[in-house]
Amino acid sequence: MLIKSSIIWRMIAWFLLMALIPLGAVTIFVQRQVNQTVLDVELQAAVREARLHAAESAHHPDAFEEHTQIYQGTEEVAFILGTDSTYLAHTDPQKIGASAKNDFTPDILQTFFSADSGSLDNGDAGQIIGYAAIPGQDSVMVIVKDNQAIQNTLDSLSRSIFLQLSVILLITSIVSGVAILAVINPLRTLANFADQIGSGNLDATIDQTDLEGEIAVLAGSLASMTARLRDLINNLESKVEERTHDLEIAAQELKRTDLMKSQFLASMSHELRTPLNSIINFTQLISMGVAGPVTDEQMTMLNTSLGSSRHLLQLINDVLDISKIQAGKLSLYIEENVNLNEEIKAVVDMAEPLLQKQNAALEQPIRFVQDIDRDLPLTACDRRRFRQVLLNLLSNAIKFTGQGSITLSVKKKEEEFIFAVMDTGPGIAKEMQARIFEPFVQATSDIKHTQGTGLGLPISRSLVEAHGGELWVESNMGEGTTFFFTLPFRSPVMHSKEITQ
Amino acid sequence: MNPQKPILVYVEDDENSIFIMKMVVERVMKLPTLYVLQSRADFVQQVKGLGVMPDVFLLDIQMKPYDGVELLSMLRKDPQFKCSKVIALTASVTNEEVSLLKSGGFDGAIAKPLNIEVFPDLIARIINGEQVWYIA
Repeated sequence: MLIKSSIIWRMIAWFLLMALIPLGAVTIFVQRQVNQTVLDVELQAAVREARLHAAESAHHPDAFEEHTQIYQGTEEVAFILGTDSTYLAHTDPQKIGASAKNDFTPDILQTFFSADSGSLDNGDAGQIIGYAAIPGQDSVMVIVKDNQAIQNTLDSLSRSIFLQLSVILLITSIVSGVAILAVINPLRTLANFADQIGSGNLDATIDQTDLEGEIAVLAGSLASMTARLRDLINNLESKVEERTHDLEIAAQELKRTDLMKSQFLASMSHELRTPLNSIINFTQLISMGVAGPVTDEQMTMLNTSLGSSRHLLQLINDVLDISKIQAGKLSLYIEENVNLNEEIKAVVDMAEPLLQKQNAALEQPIRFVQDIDRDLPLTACDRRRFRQVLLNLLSNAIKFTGQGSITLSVKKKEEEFIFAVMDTGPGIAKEMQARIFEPFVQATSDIKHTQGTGLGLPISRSLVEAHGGELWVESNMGEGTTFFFTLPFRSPVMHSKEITQ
Repeated sequence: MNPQKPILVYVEDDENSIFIMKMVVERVMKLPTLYVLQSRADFVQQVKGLGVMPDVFLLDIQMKPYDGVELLSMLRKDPQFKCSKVIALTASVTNEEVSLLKSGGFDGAIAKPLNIEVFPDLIARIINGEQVWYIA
């Protein structure tokens, strides 16, 4: 508070400084005017005195001495000058008979005799001179006054006026300063209070006991406003806390649900597979004759049972895959130096029995054409997932092709492998071409062809994309279908580079 | 060790799976017997109690109270079985699980349901010292 009010004192100092400059100028101007006026008055007085004494001296020529002697002990000097510039009478008796040429310049001496009477300001010597010719005689009465003494008196008077004015000014300034402080201090208290509120300290209080009038009213309003603000904010904070808590609970619940879903899928996968695996293996054992001879009819039924069971197992695997993909939890198991030629051969070996089975029911067997680059370079990929994609496309082609051919083409072009599975089947309508990549959508409702999960293509596309490749279809109705997919070539060198990065 | 009549030990908690494996080993592979042990804390004692040195251990992975990975570490702690051939049998062949099995020290894995036609050949390859990861 004390520190802050120093600005008031600084303002007072400035005010004083600004006021003193014109005050000084005015004082100097007034002093000059007064000096001039006093000079004029003194000059006239000198003439008057000189005339008076000259007139007197004319009547009493024998009393010359008296007229000059009366100035003894004063700051004035009187003398009577003869035409030869010698002192006929003088306030200082020793000068009588001496020449005035030692005391005055010839110009001045000449002036004394040039007119009946007059006055002159002999500024060089600080003298005011009045002179008058003594009537009927050839002599001049001269009164010399010391101007310096008068000037000194005037100067001291000016100084005293200036000093008094300054003191009055100073007192006025201090009094106004104190008065301003008396108003400003409560305002400053209010400002401090407002500052504290502004900076977020809503618990700030204001001492209203010293405040009066409008300022007290203002302080009261400010205090009640702060209280309302505090209530509002506290309310808001508790509301935000409440909502945040709700959100946290919801997030935890969501996490828990997600975990439960994952656990459910994992355990469902195990619980479903265990009995299914038993069914598959028991059926296999029976069909192998382990439990006794099997008739042809029984064998057909056992094979059907085996096929259905495997289909069911595939369905479970696909549902698990798609749920992982949708949960963003699909991860690849990338192996280095995968020989694609070997992997392709393994897939073809798996697909060929399907084709043979299909051809057995056809008059004109479907031709299977392979156009595969030899010696494809080793690359890094998830072998199992790669096989899954290629097998899915090949088995789809076999499933949907009734005549003609199926062509598998694999080429390495620049930094990627391009796979194409082309069939001469019915083709896929344009409007269906995007939809077949959605889960559980199939291009045909033909019962013969519905033996699938409707998940193969979306899973395959996700698997290819996870490898950094693309999977797409090109087809025209009646002209067959070609599925393409690309796999980025990742050479062992490139891959180790990636790791070091 | 008689390569013609290897001694197989199977640890599994599902009765049907045990029955199937017995059929495969005794009827299809024509081996004298399949030793079946239980997932228990005294697993190593059970093995020693057999009185014979097994050629191949077949461990189911999803078992209680001890899963295949835990049984393997019990076995490996005993110097007698440090170099025994141990194969995982698993129904859920996820990528994560395969890498876990490989890093866990298994000599191979065979997916369930068993491919009964190739199973005898897989066992022969394992006994020959090959690592067999028949999972796809």
